[in-house]
Amino acid sequence: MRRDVFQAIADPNRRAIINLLAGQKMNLNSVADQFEISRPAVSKHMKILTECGLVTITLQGRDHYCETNLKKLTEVTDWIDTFKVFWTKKLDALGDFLEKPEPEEPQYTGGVMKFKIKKK
Amino acid sequence: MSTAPLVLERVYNAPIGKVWTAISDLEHMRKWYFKLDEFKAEVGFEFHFYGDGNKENLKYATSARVVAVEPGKKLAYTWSLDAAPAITTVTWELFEEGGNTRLVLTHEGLETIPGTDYPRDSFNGGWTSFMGKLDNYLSL
Repeated sequence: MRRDVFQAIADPNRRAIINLLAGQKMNLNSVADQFEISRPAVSKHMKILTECGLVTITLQGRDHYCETNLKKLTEVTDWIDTFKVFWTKKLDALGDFLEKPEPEEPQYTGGVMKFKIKKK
Repeated sequence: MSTAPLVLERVYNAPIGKVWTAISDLEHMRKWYFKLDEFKAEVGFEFHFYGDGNKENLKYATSARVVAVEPGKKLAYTWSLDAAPAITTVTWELFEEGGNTRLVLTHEGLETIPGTDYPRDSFNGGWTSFMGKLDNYLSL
């Protein structure tokens, strides 16, 4: 199954892991210690994060070090920007619509058209 | 990282009642928003439309369901692309400001739209083309 960054951040635990790693490279065990969920659960989340490229794990001696690749998150901000552009245009359109004068009801202005019949 | 909702604000030089009608009355919505077949500002009401205005193009088919209505104040509906099994929520809130109306538009859950098997790039293209058409229409 192909992974992508949207899937990665859909889960609150994974978002917490990214936040934790955002400022620092950390040993995998230290990361796991920060969470109340089980080690296998942390491993599962880490697997998804690495598969989508948000986290890389490198082996140094006996330790697995985790670090984030936050550039991948621009995929998300780009996506949200698309909607920002879309809604900005919509709100502009609403503004134009609101400024238009009220469409005038066709008004019945006169009475019956009168014909004068000239009597001879 | 940010998973905050998309929030846009505008102040319109129009009374709140007029803005409410523009965003919640079918005939008014059709003139600036989407060519909706039907719409009712009633919780539970479901409606469907095509994001690129082309009925043949199922990729942009959008389903929505009204989830909150406070007349003159708040209107919210879910917004889900049929091609992507994620549900986002669009909320319109109106505030009176000395005869003008502040509109706050919130679109939540955009980051949950899964990318797998989802044609995001072509979707972007679709919106761009659609918005171009909208601009042309408005400048007529």
